[in-house]
Amino acid sequence: MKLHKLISMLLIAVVILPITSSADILMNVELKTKAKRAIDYGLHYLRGTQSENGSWSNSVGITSIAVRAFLESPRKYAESDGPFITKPIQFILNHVKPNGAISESIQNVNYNTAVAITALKATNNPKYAEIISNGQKFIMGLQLTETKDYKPDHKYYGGIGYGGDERPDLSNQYIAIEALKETGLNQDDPVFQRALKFISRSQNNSETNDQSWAKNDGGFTYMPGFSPNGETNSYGGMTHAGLIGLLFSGVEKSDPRVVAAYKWIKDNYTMERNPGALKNQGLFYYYNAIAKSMYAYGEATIMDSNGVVHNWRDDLAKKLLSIQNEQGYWVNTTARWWEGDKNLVTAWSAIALNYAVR
Amino acid sequence: MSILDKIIDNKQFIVTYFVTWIVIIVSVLLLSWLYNDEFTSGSFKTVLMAQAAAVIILGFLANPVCEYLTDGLFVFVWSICLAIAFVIIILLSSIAFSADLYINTFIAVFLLSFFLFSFSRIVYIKFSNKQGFAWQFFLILQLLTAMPVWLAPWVEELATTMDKLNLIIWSSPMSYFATALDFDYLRSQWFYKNTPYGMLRYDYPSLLSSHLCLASLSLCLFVLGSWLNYKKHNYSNH
Repeated sequence: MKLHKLISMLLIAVVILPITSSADILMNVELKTKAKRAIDYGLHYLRGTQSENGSWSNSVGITSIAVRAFLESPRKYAESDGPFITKPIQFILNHVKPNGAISESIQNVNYNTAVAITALKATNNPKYAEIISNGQKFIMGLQLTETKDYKPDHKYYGGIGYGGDERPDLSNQYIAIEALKETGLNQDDPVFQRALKFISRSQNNSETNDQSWAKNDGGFTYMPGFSPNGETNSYGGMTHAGLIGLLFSGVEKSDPRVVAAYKWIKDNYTMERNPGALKNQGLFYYYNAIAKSMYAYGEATIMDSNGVVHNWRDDLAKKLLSIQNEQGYWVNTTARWWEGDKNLVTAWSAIALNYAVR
Repeated sequence: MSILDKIIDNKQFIVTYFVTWIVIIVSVLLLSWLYNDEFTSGSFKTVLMAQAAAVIILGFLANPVCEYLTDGLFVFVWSICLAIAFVIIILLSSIAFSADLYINTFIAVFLLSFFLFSFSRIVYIKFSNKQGFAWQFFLILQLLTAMPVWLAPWVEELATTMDKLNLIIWSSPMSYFATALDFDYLRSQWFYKNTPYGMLRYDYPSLLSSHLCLASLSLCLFVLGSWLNYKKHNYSNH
């Protein structure tokens, strides 16, 4: 009887194992189920706050991030699912400018265009190919290069900012690079090599950063020579943004810049706060970035500097589950960096969980 | 009596005139110091904003004899001249701009100058020979222009909603001009490093609404000035 039971269990295991996804192995199964449910709650909340015109918070940026959360969710929502997807897509399309930019305002033009083309790409609809291509060209046109009288030795060379002639920063840079990568720009395009110059100059790693201010903790600042968290201090959100920028620009994991960034991440591993940031600032930006960077880095666990091994998927899911409001949204009590906007923060959190359960 | 005689005769005016210039020079030096990094990093739209401000300020100061302000045609033509001067400055720069930018900045410099002169004209007609009033108004306008800078340390406490923050931003002519330039100046380097605007959500005013609003306001002031001028002359003729 016992043998018969054992054989039955083995047979079940043989049948089930091949059809389970790799994330089941990478993540606690019970937690994964809860995380998927949390995504559903979050998306349900977003359904309720969607405007009549299909947008969220009347912003191209937030609408694009929210619609991406739907499209990349475990339920794989698509345009065929109805107006709650087609209307925000139409809202995005309504703000396409002749120069390729996609934005409702003169602010955040790079950011809005980048997240918009990423969302359009996520629809897998070929009819948006031209808009995506024009968006790519617009973003690449923002890069500070020789054509804008920036020489390779300038600290801002290769950088991309909010748009126009404004100063570049690593946050906009990573969003731009992510968009160009996700929308299929050829990895050999020189935009990536130029971007690496700027990304490297934002890292506290004197071995690879030619700026005199560079320290040696391996983390990243907001832009060369400036951090909103004091001096040129490294912090979590930007270090994960920097790591994504490096990896998406084609840098190998063995590269000293990636090694240094990963060391900072190990030394400062936590899901309780945005390490290095003031108060609770940029917490959900950090959660979003850590999910993307760790997914791109491709390791299931992180061993911190004390030798403790962490499963980042489990830790991230646990943390986000614990702070989700019963109505399904997430919000930061510190409203700086737009984190008082429930739509934005919920969309970011859902995307973070989407990466965790993949 | 020639214009020069009028200036020499009016000692109080000479003092006011030179004090104004000293304030301007000190302000420009201070701004150059604050924006040093901005200029060296080649933020040409910031430079354009500074150039527009210089054109309007110099245009105001280059009209030392306030009597001319009573002439409505002079106010209109002088404002047009300043707008043309600014467009020439842009054309002389090596950077190519879209036609929209030329048109919008031309309108913006014209309307800001026209508004400034139309108001000064009323002040001069109403309080004739007290040129200091126009200067004081000019100083108030300067303070208003720089309001996002003065309020920056307290802006998060003051502007608890986006509407309140927009009100602070919209009340500055600098924001109006930035909209004409298609330039989010509050996220430019200096503002980003020294003020909290970069981390807050705000909107700029719609350019068309701003043009219309300023045009209507300036026109009302212009008509009121013309009426006061007419009334004053009629009264003195009787």
